[in-house]
Amino acid sequence: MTRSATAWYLPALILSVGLVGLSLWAMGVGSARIPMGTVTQVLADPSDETREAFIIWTVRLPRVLAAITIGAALAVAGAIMQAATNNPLADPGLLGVNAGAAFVVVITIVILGPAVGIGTLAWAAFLGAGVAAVLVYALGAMGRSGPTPIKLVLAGVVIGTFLAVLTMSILVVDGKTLDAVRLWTAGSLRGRALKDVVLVMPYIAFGLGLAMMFRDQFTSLSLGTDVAQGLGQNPARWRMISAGIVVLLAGGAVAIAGPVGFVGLVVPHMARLMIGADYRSILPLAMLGGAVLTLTADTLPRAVWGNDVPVGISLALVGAPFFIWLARRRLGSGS
Amino acid sequence: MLRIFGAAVFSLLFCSGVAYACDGRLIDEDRIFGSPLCVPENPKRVVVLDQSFSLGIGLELGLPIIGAPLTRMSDESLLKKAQAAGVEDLGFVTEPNLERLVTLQPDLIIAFTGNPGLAESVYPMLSSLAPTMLDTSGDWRGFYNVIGQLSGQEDKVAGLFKAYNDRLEEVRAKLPDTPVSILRITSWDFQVYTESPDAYAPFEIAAEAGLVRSNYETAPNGPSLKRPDWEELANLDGEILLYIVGGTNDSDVDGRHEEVIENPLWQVLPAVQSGNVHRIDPATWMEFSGLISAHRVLDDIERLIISTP
Repeated sequence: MTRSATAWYLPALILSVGLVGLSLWAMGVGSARIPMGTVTQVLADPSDETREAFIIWTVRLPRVLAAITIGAALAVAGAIMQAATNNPLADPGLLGVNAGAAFVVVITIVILGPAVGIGTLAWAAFLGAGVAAVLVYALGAMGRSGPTPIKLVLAGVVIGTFLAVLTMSILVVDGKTLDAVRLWTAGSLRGRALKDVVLVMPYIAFGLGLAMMFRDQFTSLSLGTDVAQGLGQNPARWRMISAGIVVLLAGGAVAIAGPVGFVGLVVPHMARLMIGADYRSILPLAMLGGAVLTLTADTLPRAVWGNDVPVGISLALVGAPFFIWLARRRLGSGS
Repeated sequence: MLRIFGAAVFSLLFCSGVAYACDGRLIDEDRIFGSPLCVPENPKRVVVLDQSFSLGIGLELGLPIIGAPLTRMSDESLLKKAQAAGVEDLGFVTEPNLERLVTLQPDLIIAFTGNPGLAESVYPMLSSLAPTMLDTSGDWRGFYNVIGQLSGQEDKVAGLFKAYNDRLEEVRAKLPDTPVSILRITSWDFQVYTESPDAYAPFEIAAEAGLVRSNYETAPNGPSLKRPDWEELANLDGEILLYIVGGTNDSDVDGRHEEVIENPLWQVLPAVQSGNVHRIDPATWMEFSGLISAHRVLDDIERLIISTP
């Protein structure tokens, strides 16, 4: 037990170093040519007022911060969902939580106008994520067998698709809102303002803090209701707490970047393949791994092809094949 | 069944070409899709499918226009003129309401499509409703001659162009070679209409009047439209900056305008630093509709660039 609880130390150290290097590299990628030396210079001296400094502070840094923040949030949200529902296919995108958050955000923009602040949108996203989570769980838990993995995924797909269609139909009718959220609905990190990212970061940081603090509880929860009760845990209460943290993390991520899927699915599994099924190790690794994967997926297409692909799309290109492989492996042998 | 019949009739008309006897007016111009094309001698019920060239030039030359896509049009004066002439609204230009088009029972449909591909995709359906004249070239001057033929106003067209060309020469003689940048801010991106072989009409006119754009905005081999991101904004380094907000999108009222002009990357632009920034009207620069718009482009150049020392 002790060894598997500390198994994350070394990989986490490597990921942290990697994340710092990756961030510096990402700050050097963009349509204006800025040499790495200038990047480090500007970061070291925030009082600089050159054009390069403005580009780094107002265009590139917010984007890197946003990628790291939503990547960490979605990966940890996915890991918690996998633990709490005992479901290897759980992910805030697949289970409809992101679609719920996006739906309420779009409704809010329709009602309050496109100039509404991200502070308000974050709360709209929390509300939408929460309602969708409750609906999906209620639908997935119907019937005698309870919330089996496949039923939860089906419920998530049904409710997520329904909400996404509602969102689309609002956007088809309301051109003004479509203009305002055009990139956001595909899950893009382009053009985020630093103040917007910084405004949502505390919610996500709070959620991540809680997730790390309660690592032990998620591990017990992942062992199933009987074992968890045997360990003195109240699984029902901890499922509620899990849902609350997921809503905070996924809702915050949607407020920043729109509905981005698959990070929450792919990253926890990679962590699990690396260091086993202990959530005390999976959670910190998922947090760092999610940040690394999302930042890479956002930066690589621009660095290689010069194309600004929305991160939601580049992650889906990686994530969808992974999901198929996982579904065949985990569900195929089980049923 | 009716559709198959219609398609058969259409292909018959189309293939028989010149051999087919026309009891109206035969329009034989390369720029018109499916030319030679038989249209009514004196059309009485014309529907136009763009609220720019066809509507503006059509009304100017006295064509009896009964329907046009007027929704979210930003050229207020042309809109008022259309409404006064009893033109019915067909919806937004990218998705005109076909049912309304059918109930109007036009005897001629006109659109300035600007390219053969678009014309080819809409022609079969439209031509089953009424003779359809789709202009496939991007050249608005020649379009005047086509419409002039229809309304028998060739002489008026020649006079209008004489006056315009004289004015263009006057402006050209006065215009200094100060580099000027022109930017469109939409709700979701930035757009630069370049000085290029197939430049959009207002920018083509600006070039003809001798307006000098920045390097980034001059593209001898195209493209006619560039979409700079925030980092590329610095390329708009003209001494004078003209910009367009609003129009067919809501960038003037949805907070985007403020977001852009408050950004330090906007504020470091040379023209912004020296205070030579002017907002220009999307009605003139984005919904160009003929000589009236062309004169407005020259008005803007005289007012903002020539009178500025």
